[in-house]
Amino acid sequence: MSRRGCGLIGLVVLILFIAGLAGGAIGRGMALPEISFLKVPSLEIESFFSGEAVFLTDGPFPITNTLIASWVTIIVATLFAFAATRKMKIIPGRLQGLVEMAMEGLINFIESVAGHKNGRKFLPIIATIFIFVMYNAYLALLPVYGPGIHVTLHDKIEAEDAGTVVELMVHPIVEEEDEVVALIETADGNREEVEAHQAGEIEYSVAEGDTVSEGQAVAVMVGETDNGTAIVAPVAGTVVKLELERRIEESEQPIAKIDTGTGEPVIVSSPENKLGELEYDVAVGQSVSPDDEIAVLTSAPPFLRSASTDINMTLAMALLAVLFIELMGLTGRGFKHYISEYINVGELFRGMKLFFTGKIVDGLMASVTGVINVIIGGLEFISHMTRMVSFAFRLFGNMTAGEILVLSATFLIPWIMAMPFYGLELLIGFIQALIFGGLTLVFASIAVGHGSEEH
Amino acid sequence: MNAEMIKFLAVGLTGSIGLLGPALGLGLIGYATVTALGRNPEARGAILTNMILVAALTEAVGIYALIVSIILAMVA
Repeated sequence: MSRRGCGLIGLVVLILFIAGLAGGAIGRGMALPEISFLKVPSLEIESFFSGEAVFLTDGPFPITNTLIASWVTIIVATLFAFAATRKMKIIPGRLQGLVEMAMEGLINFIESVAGHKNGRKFLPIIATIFIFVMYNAYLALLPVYGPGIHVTLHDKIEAEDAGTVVELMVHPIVEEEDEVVALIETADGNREEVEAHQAGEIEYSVAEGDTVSEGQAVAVMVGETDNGTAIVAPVAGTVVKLELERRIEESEQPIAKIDTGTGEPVIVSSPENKLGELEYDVAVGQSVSPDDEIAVLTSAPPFLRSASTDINMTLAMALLAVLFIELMGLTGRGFKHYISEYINVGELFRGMKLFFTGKIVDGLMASVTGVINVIIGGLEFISHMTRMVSFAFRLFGNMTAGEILVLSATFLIPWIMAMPFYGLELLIGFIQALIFGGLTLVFASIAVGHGSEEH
Repeated sequence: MNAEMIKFLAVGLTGSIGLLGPALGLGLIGYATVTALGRNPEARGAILTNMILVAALTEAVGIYALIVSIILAMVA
C-alpha cells in the first residue's frame, strides 16, 4: 500500500477514536455536548448466569437465546465440514486442505498425549469438544450476536406539549381467557381481580386511582367474536393496578394522545426502530407539561447470545466430559481397579487380619495406613467431582469476562477501542477450546492408565 | 462505614487479592518457560504448548475471583 493510503487510514482511525472519545462514557463524564447518534447504552446486568428466554417464555422449557446460538453453532459447524468434504480429492483444494490441516493437528496433539491406541479412541469426543467450544467463541464475535451481558435500553418517551392525556393508544392484548386485567381494592382493604372472559384486545375506560362502583365497566373487550363487550368491576372500590406492560411491535407506533386544549390533539409516537416492552408513567386524564416522561420503552433481549456465556451450557459440557473420563477409567482398567481407587479398603482388611491373628504391632501399623487409604479414596472422589465445577466455571468465566471486556471498552470509547480486544478474544477462544479439550484428554489418559502403552 | 462502603471494599479486595495469586503464578510460568527455552531451544514447540496450557489454568483461578467480585458488585 502506498504511503498516502496508510496516512489516510491512520487519519480515519484517529478521527473515529476522537469521535468515540468524545461521544462515549468518558466524553459524557467530561460534560461535552451530547452527540445524539453516539448514544451509549447504560450497562445493566439483567441475567448474568443464563440466557434470556426468547420463545416459550412461560413454559416449562423456555428456549433461550444462548440455546438458539448453540443450535446455530452446530448447524454452521456441520455445514462447514460438509462443504469441505463434499468433493474429496487426492490433491486437496483450499477448504479441504484447511480442514485436513486442522484435523491432522488435532490428531497429532491427541496422540502425543494419549498414545496411538487410546488417542484414536478419544479423538471423536475430544475433537467435538474442541470444535464446539471454538466455533461458539468465534461465532459470538459476529455483530448479529447480542452482548453476553444483556444491555437494557431504557428509552424515555416524553410529551411534546403540555396538556391532558386523553387516550393511551396501545391497547394491551389479552392472550388467554381469565387473564387478570385489573386489580380493584375495596373499602375494607380486600383486593379483587377483574378477569377477561376471552382473548383479544382490551381498552380501559378507567385509570389507576379511579373509584368504581359494583357493575361499572372497567374495560371494553375488542375480541374476534364479541366486539365492545364491557368488562365490569365485581365490587366497588379503587382501581390500584391496570396491567400496563405491553409490547410495541412496530416502530413509530402511536403511543398516546395529548389534548392541548387548542384544537388538534398531539400524538406521541414510539422512537424509530425501537421495539420492546412499554410501561406507561401517566394515566388517562392526567395533565402533563412538555418533556414530561410519559412512558419507558425497554428493549427486547438479543435473539442470539454467545452459548458459552450460559452456565447451563458449560455445565452440561462439563458433565459430559467428566462422564467420559469416568467411563474411560471404568472400561480401560476394569471394574475392580476402577472402584478400588475410590473405596480403598484392602490395606485396612489386611491390617485387621494381622491384628486378630496375633501380630498386634504389624496389624496396628497396617490398619493406620488402611484408614489413611480410605480417606485418600474419599478425597479422590471429591477431586473428580470438583473437576466438573472447575470445567464449567473456567469456560463460562473466560467467555463472560471477554464479553464484559469488549463491552466495557465499547462503553468507554466506542468503535476503535474495542478492536484490539476482538483480537484478544480470537486468541482466548482458541486457548479455551484447547484447555477444555486438552484437560479432558489428559484426565482421560490418566484414568485409563499407561500400563498398556507402547511408549 | 455503611453497608454500601463495605460492599465496594469487598468487591475491590476480592478482585485484588484474588488476582494476586494468578499474577505470581503467571510470572513463575514465564520465568520457567524462558529458563527451559534457554537450556533446550529445540524443544520450543512442546514447551510453548505446555506453557499455554498451564498459563490458562492459572488464569482461570483469576477468572473465578473476577466472577465472585462481579457477582458481589452487581447482585449482592
